[in-house]
Amino acid sequence: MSIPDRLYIHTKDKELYDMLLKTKFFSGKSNKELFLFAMAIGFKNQVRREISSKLEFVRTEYLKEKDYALLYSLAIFETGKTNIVNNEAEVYKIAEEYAHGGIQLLVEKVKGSNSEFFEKQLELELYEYYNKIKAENE
Amino acid sequence: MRISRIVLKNYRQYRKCEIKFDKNKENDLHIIIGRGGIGKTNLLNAINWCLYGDEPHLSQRSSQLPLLNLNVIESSDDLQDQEVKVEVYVNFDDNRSALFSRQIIYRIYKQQKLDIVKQTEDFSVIIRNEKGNSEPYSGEKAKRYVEQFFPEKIREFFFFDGERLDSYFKEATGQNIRSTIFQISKLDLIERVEKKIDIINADLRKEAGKLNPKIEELRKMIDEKENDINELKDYYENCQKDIENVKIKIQEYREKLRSIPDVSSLEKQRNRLKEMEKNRRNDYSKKETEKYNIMFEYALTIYLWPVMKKVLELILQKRANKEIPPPVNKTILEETLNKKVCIICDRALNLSAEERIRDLLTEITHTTEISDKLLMIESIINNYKENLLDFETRMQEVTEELNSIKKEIEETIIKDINDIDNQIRGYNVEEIKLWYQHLRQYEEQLNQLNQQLGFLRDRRTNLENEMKNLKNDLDEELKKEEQLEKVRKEKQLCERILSILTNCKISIMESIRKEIEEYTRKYFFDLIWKKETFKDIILDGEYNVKLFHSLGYECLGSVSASERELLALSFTLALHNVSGFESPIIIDTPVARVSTEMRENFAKVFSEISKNKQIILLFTTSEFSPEVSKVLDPIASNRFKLVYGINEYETNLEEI
Repeated sequence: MSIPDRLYIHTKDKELYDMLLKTKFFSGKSNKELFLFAMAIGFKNQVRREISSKLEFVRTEYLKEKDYALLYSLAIFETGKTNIVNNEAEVYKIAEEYAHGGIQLLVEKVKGSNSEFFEKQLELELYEYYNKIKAENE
Repeated sequence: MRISRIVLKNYRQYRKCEIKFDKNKENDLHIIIGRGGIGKTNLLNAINWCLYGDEPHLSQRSSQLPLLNLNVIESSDDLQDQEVKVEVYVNFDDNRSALFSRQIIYRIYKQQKLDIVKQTEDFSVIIRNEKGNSEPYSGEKAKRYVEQFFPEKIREFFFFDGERLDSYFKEATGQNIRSTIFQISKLDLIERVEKKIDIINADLRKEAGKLNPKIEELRKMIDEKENDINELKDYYENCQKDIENVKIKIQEYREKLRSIPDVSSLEKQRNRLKEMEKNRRNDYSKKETEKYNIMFEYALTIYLWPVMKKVLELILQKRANKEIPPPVNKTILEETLNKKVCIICDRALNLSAEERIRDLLTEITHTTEISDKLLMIESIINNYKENLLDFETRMQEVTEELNSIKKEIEETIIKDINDIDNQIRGYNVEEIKLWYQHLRQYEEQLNQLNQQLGFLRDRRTNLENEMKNLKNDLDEELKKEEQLEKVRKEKQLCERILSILTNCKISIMESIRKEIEEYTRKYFFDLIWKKETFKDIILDGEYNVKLFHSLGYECLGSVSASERELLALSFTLALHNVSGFESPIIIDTPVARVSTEMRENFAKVFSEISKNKQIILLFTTSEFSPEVSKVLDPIASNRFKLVYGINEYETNLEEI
């Protein structure tokens, strides 16, 4: 089985990505960056959804080692197997499914917030999580 | 000097009217009250007409009507002659008296269309001396008597129109006051003597010139120079006049703009602040984007932290189990397979061993790829982990910067803008801008005029020096000529007289100025009802009257109409006092511009003044309010009321 050269999103998610790009917080971000952000949100909220109708979104040639590290890690975490890293198709699939779940949540949060409220919420949430990480490592 | 009686015959509304101003109380105060249009102002006109032959206060309505009473015209037959006559009786302190009388005979034509044609006009003065002997004068002699008692040029200083008193100091510029002082103090006599001697001096130069051609030449040069100086003097005086007018304008605008903010500069300041606000908001937005980028960047690490943590643990575990890197050396296997001999024990490989090594090699290749990837993941995750340590610091820094910009915008810039808005609020900004624009224009104009004046002054000094040199040359030439000695001496005498006269004139003017200033101050502060409000009155070197508020600023433009009117009266009384000119004062609508609450105060002022001077006041019925009446009724020597006669073309006088 050949290695996929694209990361896919759900066809319906395209307009959600487009909408996010129009907000100040996400303005100027690349498809890859948005995809990874959505994936992280999906994971944090444990929302992983299968993609029934695929649309090409990010060419894998644009992925760098630091991006791969995230995709591989997520796949290892999900499967509990380190050799998953040699199965790019599965690695991408896991990432795409989390991104699918994440983008919907993200849009709901952004749309449901007043001006700057989303950013404030996000900041508080990041601090909350960061403080937990800090406590763990102390 | 006081007016004892005025008799009017067929003069405008007054068909037959005699007003006696007997002084039968302590105050020489006389009141005439009448509704608007009934003919009060025409009483003032009648006096002017009798003395000078004109009617300076004529209303537009009256100016369209003939001088001859309309009822008289109506009742006259064709070709009948009718007389208009006004007589003013004046008594002097030394028991002399004068009767000024002007009369015009009109012929009325009614046959085809109404026409009124003047037949004759006579003006006469009868002077009765202290012994009771009368002497009549007419023509120029009669006019000279008028000039002696009521000089025409300064009549505005005894026959006032109250409506105009408010703007008295706008019209009475330094130049006007200066010329009034000349008139009133008889300084014009000195000027006339100066001119006469100057002519004699010029004649002497001419005479000397005839005796010596060089002298003649010098004389011509001196004449030319003198013409230049005179011409320059005119320019100089005009320039001074312009400067005074511009100063008045500047004063007016400064008064108008006192305590009004300079909206133009405030607006510029506001625009600068708005621009600053825009820039700082832009900075804020950029900083906010920077903050969002930090959040975006760290969000991946923070949200995926459980993933990273678990993967790092797995890798650590694998390393502990010696699964990474792989336990077998791939190079040894490859070499063994190539040589078909074990490079460790030198035993030849059999088929089964060869097959086993091949399988092992495939497995190791696969494991190495995974291991490499895991090592790459470990390294990068450790980088993410290390970077995460900066999250708090970077966020704090950027948040502090954002707060600082926000504070600057809200607590400084916006506050300043609001302050400016509050300062401007309630003002007509466009109008004030226009006032400031005018003020700056006038200030610029004053600058230019002052420069021009300086230039003219220098030019005059140069010309005067040149003139002095020429005169010295002329003196030298005259000295040379024995026969010119007499002329030279006469000329010297003339020049000495001229010099004395000029110095004398300057010194008199200065002392008069000071005296007028002192008397104006005295009268004003004696009469003013708000003693503490004002500090001083100054008649400056240019004869401009300046009133100073107790806080120190010049306030003539901003005082109330009643205060300005009082200052005008004080100034007039000072003029009368200093010049010894004791004419009565007649004021038409004396409190027209004075607010209701101030009228009582003003009535008290008239009461005070009338103890030493005759005052005739012509009130409208609305002006003669209960407050005024309360003060003036008990002290007035006479009170008259003007009422309509058989119709509105005829006005009669009734004593109240």
